[in-house]
Amino acid sequence: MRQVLATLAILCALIAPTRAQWPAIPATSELPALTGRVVDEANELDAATREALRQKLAAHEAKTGNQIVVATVKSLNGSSVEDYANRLFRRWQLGLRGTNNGVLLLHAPAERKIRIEVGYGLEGTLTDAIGKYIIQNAITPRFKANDFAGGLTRGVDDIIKVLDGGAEEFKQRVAPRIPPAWLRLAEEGWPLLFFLAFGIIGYMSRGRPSRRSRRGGFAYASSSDSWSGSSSSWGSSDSGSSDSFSGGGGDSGGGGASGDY
Amino acid sequence: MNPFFARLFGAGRFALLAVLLGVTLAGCGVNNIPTQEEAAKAKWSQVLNQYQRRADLIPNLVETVKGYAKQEAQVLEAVVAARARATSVQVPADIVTNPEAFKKFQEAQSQLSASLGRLLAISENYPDLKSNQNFLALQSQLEGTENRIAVARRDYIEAVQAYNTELRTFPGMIWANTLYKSNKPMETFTIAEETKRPPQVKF
Repeated sequence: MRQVLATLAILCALIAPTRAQWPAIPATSELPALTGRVVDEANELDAATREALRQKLAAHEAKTGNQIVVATVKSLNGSSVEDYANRLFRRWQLGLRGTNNGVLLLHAPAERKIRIEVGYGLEGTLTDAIGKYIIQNAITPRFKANDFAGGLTRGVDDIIKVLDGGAEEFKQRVAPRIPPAWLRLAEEGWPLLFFLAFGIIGYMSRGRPSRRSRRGGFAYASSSDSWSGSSSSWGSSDSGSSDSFSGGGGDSGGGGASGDY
Repeated sequence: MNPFFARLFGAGRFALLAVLLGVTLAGCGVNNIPTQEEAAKAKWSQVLNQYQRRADLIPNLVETVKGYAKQEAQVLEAVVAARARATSVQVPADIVTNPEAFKKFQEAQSQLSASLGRLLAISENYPDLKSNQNFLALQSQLEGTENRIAVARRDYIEAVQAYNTELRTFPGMIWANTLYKSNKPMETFTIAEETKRPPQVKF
């Protein structure tokens, strides 16, 4: 018995290190390496645009901590753009571990696909709908005219604008204004609406400036104060020199939007 | 030798043996099965979350489409019915190791996917609907959610693969047959479903 145990232990000890080396993740060798904030594998940007983008992205990270990366790839290797972008995002680990505040703007010219992949932590700010809006309004029209530099630059500008306090403005543009609930009520249950209206009138005529009447309006239209023109305040003493850049361990669960042109 | 030292030495040998045993056991991955089981369960709850998120989006979507395409009552009702089925399906605690319950869940969800696909397809025929802001926003959210579901499923499949492999290969097999006799291999999604892409809508 002791001998059996001993052999087992030796076998285990031998096998344990080799097991650890077995690749847990399927080969991802076809993904490009993260060489900087702008990975232009498809070679569609001129040096000046690349540098300008890099500086904007570096300044944004210095200010907010968000890691945004622009990537162009030669080929999606048969994957869907969603799948590819998610794997690339996870490979590069954009954003900080735990905060997951990374964004990947991906362009695959061969497949004519675009994707904005958003880390967990920014899903609430850069929502799917806003991502879609940016792709359709800032990027696609320029890509259709073969202006890749312009499209990516505008796309980055808008993403930065959203993440830098401009989300409310974009939300107003894309938000599903939620009145369907009361539209439905107006359609099918207007007696109830009447009742409610009289109730409110009665309540207000008692002379109390009620909270309720303020809440009744659309919360969206109010409070656009967060749009305090910060968008052009970069350029202030950018670190400029350090080009070494790496992901911070962030993760994405497939949030974002995609489009084609 | 002093009997006291002999005893000490004996006890020391015992402790040494225990330590050695602990190290080799850990090297043998005695913790792998529970660790990987927990990981797979966490991935599974992510899958459930994302399906729930999709179910939550549907009432608003149906309302919006109804406003523009009332005549498509059949398609709309199919979506509502499929959603009702999908949300009423029992998700027992042991669903990941219960093939029948797992299959039922998967079927209900893929029916909902199919009927949603039809709904988005017919909405192509209504220009007013297609340009409606509500619809566009809901549509992008639905696309995003379908993609999150795909990612969550992929993560779950990978986690289960690792766990099931651990149960069935050496040395995990030893622990599976001794310490963790009650651990069963987990169910996973069929590949056929994986090759389906989220509904893509051209503009």
